[in-house]
Amino acid sequence: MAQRHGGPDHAVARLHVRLLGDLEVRLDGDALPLPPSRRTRALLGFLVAQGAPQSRATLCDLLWDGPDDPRASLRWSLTKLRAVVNDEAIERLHADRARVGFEARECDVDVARVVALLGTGNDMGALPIPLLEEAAHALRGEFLDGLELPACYRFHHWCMAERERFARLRRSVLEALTTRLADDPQRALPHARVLVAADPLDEAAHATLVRVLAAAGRYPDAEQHYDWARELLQREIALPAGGPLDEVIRAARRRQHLLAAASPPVAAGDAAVPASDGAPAAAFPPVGTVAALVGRDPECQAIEAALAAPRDAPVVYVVGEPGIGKTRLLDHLAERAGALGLRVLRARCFEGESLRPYGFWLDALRGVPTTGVSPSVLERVAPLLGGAAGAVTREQMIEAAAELLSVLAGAHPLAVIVDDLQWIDDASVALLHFVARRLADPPQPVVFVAAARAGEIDDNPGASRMLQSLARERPLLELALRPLGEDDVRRWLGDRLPDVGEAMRTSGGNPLFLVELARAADATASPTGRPWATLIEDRLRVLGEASRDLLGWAAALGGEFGVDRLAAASALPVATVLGHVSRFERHGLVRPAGGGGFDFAHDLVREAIYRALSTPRRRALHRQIAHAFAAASADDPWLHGAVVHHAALAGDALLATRAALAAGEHWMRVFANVEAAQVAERGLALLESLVPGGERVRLEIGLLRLRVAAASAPGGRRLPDLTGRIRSVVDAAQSLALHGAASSGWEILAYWCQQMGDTHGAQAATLAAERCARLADAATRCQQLANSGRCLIDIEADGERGRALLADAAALADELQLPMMELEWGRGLVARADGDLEAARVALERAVALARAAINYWREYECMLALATVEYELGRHDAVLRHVDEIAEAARRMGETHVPFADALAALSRQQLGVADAASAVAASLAALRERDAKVHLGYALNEAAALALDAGRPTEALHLANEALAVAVAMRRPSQIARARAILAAAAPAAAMHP
Amino acid sequence: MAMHRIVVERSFDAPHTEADMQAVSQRMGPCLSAFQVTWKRTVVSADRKRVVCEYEAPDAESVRRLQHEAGAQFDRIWVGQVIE
Repeated sequence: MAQRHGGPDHAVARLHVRLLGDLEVRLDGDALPLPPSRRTRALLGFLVAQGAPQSRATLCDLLWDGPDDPRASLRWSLTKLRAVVNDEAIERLHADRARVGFEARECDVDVARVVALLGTGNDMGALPIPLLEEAAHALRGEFLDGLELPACYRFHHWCMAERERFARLRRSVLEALTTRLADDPQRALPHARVLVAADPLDEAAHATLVRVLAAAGRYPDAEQHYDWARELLQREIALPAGGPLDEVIRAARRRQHLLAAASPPVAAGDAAVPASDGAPAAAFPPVGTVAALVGRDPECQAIEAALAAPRDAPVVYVVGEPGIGKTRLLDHLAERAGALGLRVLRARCFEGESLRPYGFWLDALRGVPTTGVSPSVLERVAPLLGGAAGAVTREQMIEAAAELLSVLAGAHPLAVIVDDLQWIDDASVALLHFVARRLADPPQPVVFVAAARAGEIDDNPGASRMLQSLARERPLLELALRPLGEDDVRRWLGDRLPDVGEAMRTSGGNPLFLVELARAADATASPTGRPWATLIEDRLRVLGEASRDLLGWAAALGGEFGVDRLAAASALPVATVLGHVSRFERHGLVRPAGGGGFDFAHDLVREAIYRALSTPRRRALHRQIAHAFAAASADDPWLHGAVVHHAALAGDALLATRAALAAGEHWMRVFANVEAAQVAERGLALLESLVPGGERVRLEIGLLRLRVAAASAPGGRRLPDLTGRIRSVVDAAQSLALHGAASSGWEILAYWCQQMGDTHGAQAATLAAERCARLADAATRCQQLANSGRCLIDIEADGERGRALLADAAALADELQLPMMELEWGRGLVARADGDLEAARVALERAVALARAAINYWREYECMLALATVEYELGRHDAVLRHVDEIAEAARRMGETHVPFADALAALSRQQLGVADAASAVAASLAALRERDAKVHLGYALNEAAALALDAGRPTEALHLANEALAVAVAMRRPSQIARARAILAAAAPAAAMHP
Repeated sequence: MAMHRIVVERSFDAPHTEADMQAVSQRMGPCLSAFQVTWKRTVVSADRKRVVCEYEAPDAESVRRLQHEAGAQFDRIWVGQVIE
């Protein structure tokens, strides 16, 4: 957050922008209507939060990275935003040809205010409590709640990072408050509850709440919360008992025990236990789906006319705000179509559908009868019917889809109904457009119907363009649904709403909102003036903990869900899930969808449930869903896209990147080229979060191959020059000896050079690809030989065979001109065994360098130890001491905190150099090696310590050490150590006898 | 000579499948005898996210090296005593 727009004194500001919670802009206290487009609102949030001007290219990449004209979309959004934040006197939104920025002049921005209140946030103990409470109040909402935009991954990552930053700040504020209000538990209680709600998987937060409840004299509530929290933490993160939560409840029990012992008995019925502060569990009656359709007579008449003459029917386009009744009107249309003998192909699109190409068609064609359709058509259209992709072209597949619909229309007139068109994917749009045009010439009896959210349709340029194009070819009947009038509402819900006028003001005539108000009124709660989310929360409260948990799973799944899939994701038995889902259906929260699955009664219901989940809880749900889907994707490749979606939301970059590659490869096979290109870009962006190494290189090469292939397929976009990136990853693959991956990388480069007209470059790359492919097989064999040989030499098991294997590996490596780490390691060990310590040092230095290049920490560590040993034997003790630090660093990267053998070599070197107290360090390192049970290293260090003791004229000590070394070396079958121990014993025994 | 019972604890984010276990044991197989390490038994949790393996070996370090040689993931290695 740029300090420069820390904001003026917010009391004098006329404009107030809220980024924490739902994005809100208020002028003189009145909320201003924001553009319906979520990307436009996200743009406002980004510009306000950043403060500093941003380049147009950055903003386009952030929110409009697609095949269409991103700059035009940005211009359009800026036009909408100027009207919100600029006025005659003050221009807050500045834009020139290159950059766009928001300046908070006479404007209060909540996040800036919080930062100003808390300063650095480092010393909350010194801030006044009222100030902390004000900050806690401002921080109560999630940053840009509901505007995560998972489909715009760059924006999504930025938003998530900001959200986590403010979540940490909120946590610090709440912890400071609960600590400092220890003497006023009633005042601390709301803050402790918010702390738990912000991260239900945080044991410390639960412990705080239990402590505060107990301190407030509400011991039964403390016990109840403890039970719930313990079960939750055990189930979700397998948290063992005995942590802070258990400590707090034990302390509360002890205190309660003492109080009970000190108090006189209380008569039953006395108010010994204060009432819970939770809302009363109102008995909401189960309510089925509201079937009434009121105030839509003109629309119904238009639909009737269209269905009566399907061959000449216009494209019916239903548009309106969320909850206005579009789906209800489509229900009516589908019902009437069925009654008039039309076959209905209907499906709804979901947010994030870009990760599920052909999503609409896959759902709409599920279970469609195929009698009378020729086998060749069925084979070509198989991917859209859930089957595997055969050897067909894109044109053959979409032609076959049109033919399938034509055959179906020949048997019965068709109604093709698309709900939530604003979320449709590009591949579905392309097919819908093609089919609509093909079935219009000659005209077939097919009615096309689509419904979309007003404003949000502009976020999907492909869908908008298709509507415009269709409107040029055939009549377009636009049914813009308006809010209900008061008379309609009175007729519909007059007997259920205590005050229809007030309900109209609260709901703005939105039918979905009105239904919720009626439900709340049925439950005797006071419904008026309450926001939508609160009404949904009240309905959830009567469901019980387990049902609410499962509803969270369903909301995180995101679209339609089958009971089996929900059970797999939540790891609950199918029968249990089925019981809960039946209950949700009775409560009108979900409704049956196609294919035996379920969907939320409205996406706003799903959204309200999802938004009620804390960020850590959402992450946990998405993580488990991603893993469940990844396991199932072996049988259902369409799930790869869902894995990308859920793994990215869970912050699991590795799983998301793997799935991005798998999804893209599958989508290329079914000609969803635009989506394949997008998912490849997304995977390439995720790579930055992965640790360097072989898998990252393999994934990058696979994703680049996908990206280049998708760009050259129909619908592909011209790519920036990728030569540098491809060359760089090929180099990385070769340095890691990943010859198969390198060969693949050279092939991409060859193709790329060809596209660029660089024939010479293409030829050179093709030759390199062939060489790498040959190397891949030979290198594997060479690696196996070197590894086996080195291992046998290292453990002194069968030196002769080890040397022979290493010789074979060396011959092969020379032929292939391959640098091989295992071979250099083995050469170093052989040279040392032969007494050529200088040659050993050189070979081991090469091995260390190769292990580092391959990012193989363990081999780097082992080769460094071998090198330090050789340096010790060469008497280069300064070099030993230098190496020890590098060994410790390599061990730390492997997760090891102690390096006792390196410490032993260092202590022995110091003793050789005459450093004071070195002998005690040697003794300590020997003890550490015994403790670690590392006998080979112990045997070596004991022998060297014995040799030093002998040289120093302490033969008895030498005998003692060499005897232990001999026992250890015999146990470990190390001939070299046995020989060395015996030699020391032979030399030390006479001296010891003379000077016992 | 005296052999120790060495315990290797492993944990995984995703369930460890039979195929994963098979792959590791194949990589480990050739080294077992060279390191004088004998596999005794493996215990897998119900969710397959935790695995405990028991080996017999002359020392813990041999088992540690074996895990690294085979590229097997582990959290802790310790010398145990069998009480039955």
